Amino acid sequence: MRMIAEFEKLGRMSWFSHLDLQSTMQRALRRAKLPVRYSQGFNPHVNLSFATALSVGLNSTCEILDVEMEAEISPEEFVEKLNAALPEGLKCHKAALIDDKAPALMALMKEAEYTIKVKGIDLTEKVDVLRNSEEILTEKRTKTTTKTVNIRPMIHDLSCSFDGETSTILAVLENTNANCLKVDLFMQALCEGTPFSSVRTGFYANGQRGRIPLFEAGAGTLK
Amino acid sequence: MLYDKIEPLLPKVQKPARYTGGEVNMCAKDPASIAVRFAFCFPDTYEIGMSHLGMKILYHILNKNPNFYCERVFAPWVDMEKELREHDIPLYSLETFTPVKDFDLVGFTLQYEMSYTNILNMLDLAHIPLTWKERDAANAPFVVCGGPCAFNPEPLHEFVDLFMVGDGEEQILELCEHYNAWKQRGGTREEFLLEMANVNGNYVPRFYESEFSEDGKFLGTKRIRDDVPEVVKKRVIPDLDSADYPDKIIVPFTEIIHDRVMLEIARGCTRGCRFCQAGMLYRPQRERSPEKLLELARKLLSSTGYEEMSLSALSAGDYSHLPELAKKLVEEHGCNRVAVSLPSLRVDSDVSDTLESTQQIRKTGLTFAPEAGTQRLRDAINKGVTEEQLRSTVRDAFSKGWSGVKLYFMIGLPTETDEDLDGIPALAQATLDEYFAIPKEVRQKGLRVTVSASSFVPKPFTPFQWEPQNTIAELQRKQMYLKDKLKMRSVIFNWHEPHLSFLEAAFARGDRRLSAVLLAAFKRGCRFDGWSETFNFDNWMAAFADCGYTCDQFAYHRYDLNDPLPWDIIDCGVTKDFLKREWQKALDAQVSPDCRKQCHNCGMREFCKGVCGK
Repeated sequence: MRMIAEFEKLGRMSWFSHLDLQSTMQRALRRAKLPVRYSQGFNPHVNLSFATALSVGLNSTCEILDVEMEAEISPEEFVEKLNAALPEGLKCHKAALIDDKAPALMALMKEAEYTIKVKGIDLTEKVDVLRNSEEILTEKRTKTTTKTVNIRPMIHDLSCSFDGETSTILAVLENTNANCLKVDLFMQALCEGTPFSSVRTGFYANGQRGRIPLFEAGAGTLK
Repeated sequence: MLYDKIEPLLPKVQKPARYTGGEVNMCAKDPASIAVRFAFCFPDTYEIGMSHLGMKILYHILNKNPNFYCERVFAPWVDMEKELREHDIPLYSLETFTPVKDFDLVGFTLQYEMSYTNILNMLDLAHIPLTWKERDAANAPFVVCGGPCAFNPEPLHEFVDLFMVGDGEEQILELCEHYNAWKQRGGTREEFLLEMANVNGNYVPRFYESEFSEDGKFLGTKRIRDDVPEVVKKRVIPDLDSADYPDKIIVPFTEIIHDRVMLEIARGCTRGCRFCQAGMLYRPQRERSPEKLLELARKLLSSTGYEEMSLSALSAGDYSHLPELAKKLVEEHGCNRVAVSLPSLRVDSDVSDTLESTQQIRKTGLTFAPEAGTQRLRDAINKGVTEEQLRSTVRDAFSKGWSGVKLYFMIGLPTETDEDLDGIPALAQATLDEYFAIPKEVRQKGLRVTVSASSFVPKPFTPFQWEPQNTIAELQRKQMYLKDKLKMRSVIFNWHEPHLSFLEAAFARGDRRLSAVLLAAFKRGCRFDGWSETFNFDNWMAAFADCGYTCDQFAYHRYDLNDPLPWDIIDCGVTKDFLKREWQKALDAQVSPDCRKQCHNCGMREFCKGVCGK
């Protein structure tokens, strides 16, 4: 049996890497004395994974942990004990037990939602232009290569509001194993060079009647 | 709050988690309710500093007291330093993002000489004046230092208000208590330091003066007022069981060098290796009881969630209850997938049982330090181990499933000849022979013998303290000589450029004149000298020249046995007579057996009656 748990990674906690998150969660699970399952072999580790990676410096309120359990425990108890072992800025919201054979969360994942704030500029018009474009060609740069990609098909939902001080953009971007639009690249296309702060605020899967939260989709396979 | 200014810089630097704190078990207090704020500064990166046991102990002890708040500060890596300077952000603490200059006391731990430029750089980044004279004028925080290098404090005398010599557990609390009382009552800075100078173990350099002859010979250091001690005696914690030890330690998010629970099983060492400064400084040897250690292990593992624990001591294999302790730890924590590792094993320790019980959980690397190639030289440095002991240990290890062995040696030891160097490849060959003597079905595949040769640095308070270091050219010749002879299958040879050891030698046995050199080196941009990517030898040589000195005159200086020494102002418990006797025995290649078997009258029995030789 497995437990999936939604948690946030905010503020000071946003600065350590995905690899560090792995050991941090493992140690938290150990401190919480939760009955998790270990791998076999000389270097046993907790069988633990995440729905997807989170870049260093990015905040999130919707990360999902997926851990194999040795013994059954209620999701409520899991959340309570894990939270007692987590530092400020890492907090577990909810958990659900799922079957060992349930699909990996990454396999269900379709989209990620970002809430982006830009101070001092009204971006509503720019966002409208972007949304109404048929094609958005953007330069994707890595250390060694630069290639031009059309990111329009990967932007699934986009809106913006301006309150006189701050523009708040809500963007739902494709996030599957095969295709993933990072928030940095999206912002590069929208307003390159402008400072922004962003929080990942949701993951989505495809339900029978359209978009559903990934956590619900994952938990829906409850045995 | 300072954090808001720091956050925008973080995407621009490597490993931003070095600069954000907030870890599990970090101590959180309200600074408004605190009487004394102590900035514990480690003059190296976060990953190195966070691996240091002494800091964990003192952090715990200070923070247990509700009136004191100890916070951590590390040297920012060069990328972060650039950002801090560009944005004019002062160096800050990780707990509360408070500028270091707003603390009452700023403490540095002196673990190795080549971190000294980082101290100056950190003070500069903190906007704290570098010298005590300037700080007096600016009423800036006091800068205090402790750690092994405080046993020769002189090269730092211009920059430090107070050195704390010896075990720090009691001393650091006394410092904060005296500071608090002085702050409440009001008084001059000198009054406070005078009071501290009269507390055992404290050296206040401003109350002392060094003399040199016209041709630059060191003539001695004397007090300039008679109400301070002539000689500063180091502090000793007599009983480790009653000394405070953390029951929880900070668990970093990002990987550090020693990312595990460290259990200090003993302090001090009874072997008396003549090159080893720690072996002299941390005398007498004291042990924690297995009961106390089992209790601490339980608490530490449960409060941290660590999956690994190491038993720490200068010579862990000599701990009297090692097999019993290792067995119980494995019994109790093995089912929770905790690996128990033993660093610093001696070739001649009785490791068989211990290896067996730790191996059940996790294989860790095996390291042996014969230090020298021939029996004659091993006897001269009092390492004492025999080739047969090494052979039987590696035989044992290979037959129990280990296939990788590391052998550590030193080159440039006093009395060393090329014949002694030849002994190093001979021992590597003996190790290979032992492996191949084990039947194929029994031994593990993937044999790997790593031979490392470091350059010997003569250190204060050792029988080799009067000796010059080998010249750079000589050390390089020896390295190439070994490289040639160690071209063997399955053997890897490691060595380091000797330039860093050369500077280390100058500072280890240096005197007050080196403060000026250090300042010049800092001004020329030297920092992180212990890191090959930042070490700049030419700048260092220029810094010596700026001050009219050469590094040779310090590193290659031979003191006469009757010369006054810059570190004579410190009494580390071991007498000069003892060191002279040991020096003579080294020349005669005579060993001094383990002092648990035979007392050699090193002076510790007199120094702390009842603690030594129990």
